[in-house]
Amino acid sequence: MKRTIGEYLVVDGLNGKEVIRCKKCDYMFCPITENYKNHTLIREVPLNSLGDGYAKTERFCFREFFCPGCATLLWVDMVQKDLPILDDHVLR
Amino acid sequence: MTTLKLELDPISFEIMSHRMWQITYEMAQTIVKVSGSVVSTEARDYMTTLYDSEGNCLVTGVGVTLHGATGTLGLKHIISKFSKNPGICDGDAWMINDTDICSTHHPDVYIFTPIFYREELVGWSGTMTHMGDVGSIDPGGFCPNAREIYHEGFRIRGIKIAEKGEIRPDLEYTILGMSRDPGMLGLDLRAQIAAGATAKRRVHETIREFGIDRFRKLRTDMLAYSEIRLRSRLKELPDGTWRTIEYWEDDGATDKIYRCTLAMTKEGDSLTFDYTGTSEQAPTFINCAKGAARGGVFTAVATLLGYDMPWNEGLMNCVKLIIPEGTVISATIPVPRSMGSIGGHLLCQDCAVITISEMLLSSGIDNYRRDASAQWCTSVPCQTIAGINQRGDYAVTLIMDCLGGGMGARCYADGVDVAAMFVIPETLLPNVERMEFMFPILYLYRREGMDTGGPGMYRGGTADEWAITPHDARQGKIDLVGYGFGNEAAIGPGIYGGYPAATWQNAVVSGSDINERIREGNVPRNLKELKGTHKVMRAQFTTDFHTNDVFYIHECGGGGYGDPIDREPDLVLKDVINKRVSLKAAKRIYGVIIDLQNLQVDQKKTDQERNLIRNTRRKTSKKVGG
Repeated sequence: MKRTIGEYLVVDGLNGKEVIRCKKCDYMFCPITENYKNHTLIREVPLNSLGDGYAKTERFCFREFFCPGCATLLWVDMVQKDLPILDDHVLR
Repeated sequence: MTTLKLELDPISFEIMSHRMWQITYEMAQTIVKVSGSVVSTEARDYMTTLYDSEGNCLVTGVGVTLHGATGTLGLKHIISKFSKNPGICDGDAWMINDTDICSTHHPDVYIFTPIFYREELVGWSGTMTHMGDVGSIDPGGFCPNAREIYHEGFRIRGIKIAEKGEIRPDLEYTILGMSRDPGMLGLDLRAQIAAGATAKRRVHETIREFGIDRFRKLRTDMLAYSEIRLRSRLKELPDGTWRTIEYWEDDGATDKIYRCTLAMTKEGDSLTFDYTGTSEQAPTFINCAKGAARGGVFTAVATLLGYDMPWNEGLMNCVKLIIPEGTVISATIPVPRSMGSIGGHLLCQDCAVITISEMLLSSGIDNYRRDASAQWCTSVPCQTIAGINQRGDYAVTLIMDCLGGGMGARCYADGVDVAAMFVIPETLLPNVERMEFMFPILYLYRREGMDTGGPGMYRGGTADEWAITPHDARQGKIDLVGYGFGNEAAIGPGIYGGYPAATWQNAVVSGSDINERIREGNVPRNLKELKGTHKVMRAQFTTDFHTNDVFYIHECGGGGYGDPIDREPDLVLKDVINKRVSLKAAKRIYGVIIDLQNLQVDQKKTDQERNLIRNTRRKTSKKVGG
C-alpha cells in the first residue's frame, strides 16, 4: 500500500527507489530524499489577496505550491519575503 | 512494542492514578469557588498539579497545560534552595513567580504545598493562577513599556507564604501592597492555598484507603506508565525531520521581524525539538524564558501524543530540547518577558503543534491522522483594562475574549468555531454581564467573525469579534493595554493546502457618537457605522480609553486543511448561510457560486469557476528558478 503524506502526496516505488507522487493525478515530483516543493509550481501572493480580513503588508506573503499535473494546492507557507523555500518534510 | 511493567497491579494502578487526576479536578473547583477573578473563575486560567516528593509532576489536570512542565522547575528550585533552611514543614505553602526560574510571566503565580503523611514527605500539590496585577509598569502585568525584567512587577523566587497552616500576615500584607488590586490578588492567593488543602485531604484519604506502600509505588508507576506508553506510540510513527517557522512582527519599539524556527526530529521512540535559528532576544516584553519554552513543547506533546495518559514528567523523558540561550524563547536577565505566556511560549508551542501534526499526517495510520490539526488560533491578542470602576474602586483585568479563537481544521472535519486556546482546553469566555458588572465597560457586541477561519477543504474554526466602550468610568477614562502578534503576519498556519487563518485586526474609534446612539436605542452593529476618528492600533499599545471611545477586535481563527476548491460546495453554502464565510470568499477562494434566490449551489457554474481557478494557478505560477 502506498504511504500517504498529508492529503495529496504519496510515497511510491520506482525502480527500487522511493519517490513522491501526487495522489490525485500521479504526477511524480522527486525522490523521497528531495524537497518536493522544489518540483512544484510556485506562486507568491499578498496576504490580503484572500480578503480584507488579512493584513495589507509588503513584508509577508503567501507562497503557494501547486501540483504541475492537476494544479491542486498542495501547501501554503506564510513567509517573510525573500526567505528560501522551507524543506519541511525530511522522511526517512 | 516496549514492555509496560508496573510495580502495582493494573487495577490498583488505574484506580489510584485516576484518583490523582480527579484530585486535580477538585483542586480546580476549589479555585473557582474561592477566587473572585473572572480570569480564574470563568476563563480557567489556572493550573492544578500533583507532584512527587522530589518535585516531579505526576499529573497535571485541567487548566493551562504548559504549567505541568514549568511548575516542576519552580518546585524543584524551592526544594533544592530551602529544604535545609528554613526547611520544608507540614502546613507550609510556598510562593514563586520568577520567570527566570519557572513562570511564563510574573502574573502567573505558583503556590506549592508539601503533603506529609505521618511525618514523611510523600508529595506536593501545586497551583497557578494568573493574578490581576503584580505591580508592573503597565497595569495587569503584560508590559509594552518594560525594558527590563525589573519593570514587570514583583518577582518572588520562593517564600514560605504560609506555615503551620496559616498565611503569614507580614508577607501577605507586603505582597498585597505591591499590587494595584490587592483585594482580587488576596482572593486568588487564598484560592490557591485552599486548593492545596483540598489536595492534602484527598491524598491522605487515598493513602489511608490503599496504604502508604502502594502510594509510594504509584509515584514510580505513573512516571513510567506515561513514558513507556509515549515511547511505544512514537515507535509506530514515521522517523523524519519536520520544520516550520513562526513570526513576531511587532516588538512594540522597532520594526524588526523575529522568527521562531523549529526542526523536530523523530527517531525511534524519542523526539528532539531543535529551535536553533530562532531570533535573538528582543529589547521588549515579547520574549519568554527557557522554562516557558519547555512548557510550550510539553503542551503540544501531551495534547497531540499523550492525550490518553497522565500528563507528567514521564512524557518529557521522551523529549530532548535544544533552545539556544539569548533568543526570544530563552531570554536572559535583564531582558523583559512579560508577554512570555502568549509570546515566546506560544510560538514554541505552535511550531511543535504543526510539526507533530505533520508527522501524524504522514503516519498512514488513520487514528493518528485524525489526531492532527492545522494550527489553532496561534495569536492571542489580549487586552488589559484598568481604572476606577462604577463603584469607585480600582479594578484591573485581562479581557479574556481573546480565548474565543478558532480550532485548526482536521483531515476529516472543520475546526471548531470559537473553540478555545490550544493550551487551555476547558476555558470559557467570561460572561458579558459579569464583565460589565465588575468593570466600567459596556459590550456593543460579541459574535463569530465572518471569514476569520483559514480556508481549506476543511475550514479552520472562526474567531470571535467584539467591541466595547467605557461605561460609568468615574474618571471619564480607563487604561487600555493591548498586546499580541499576528495582526500583520498570518501565523495560524493551515496544513496540506489549507490557508492560514485571517490576521487579527483591532481599532479604536475616538470621540465617537456611541453614547448618543445608545440613548437612541440604535446600537451599531459594526464599527463603520460610528462617527469619530478611526485608528488601527499596532499589536502592542497602551492608550487612554475615554468615554465615547470604542475598541474593536476580531481574534484569530484556526488554519485550514486541504485545497479550498476541494471543499464540498454544500458546506460552503452552509457557511454562507451561517455568516461564517462571505459570498465574496465563497466565489474567490472556494470557487463556489451560490444561487441566492433559491439558496442553493449552482453546480455548473461552480465547476466552471473551479476550472478557472485551476487554469489561473497554472498561468500565474512558475517552476522553482523559472
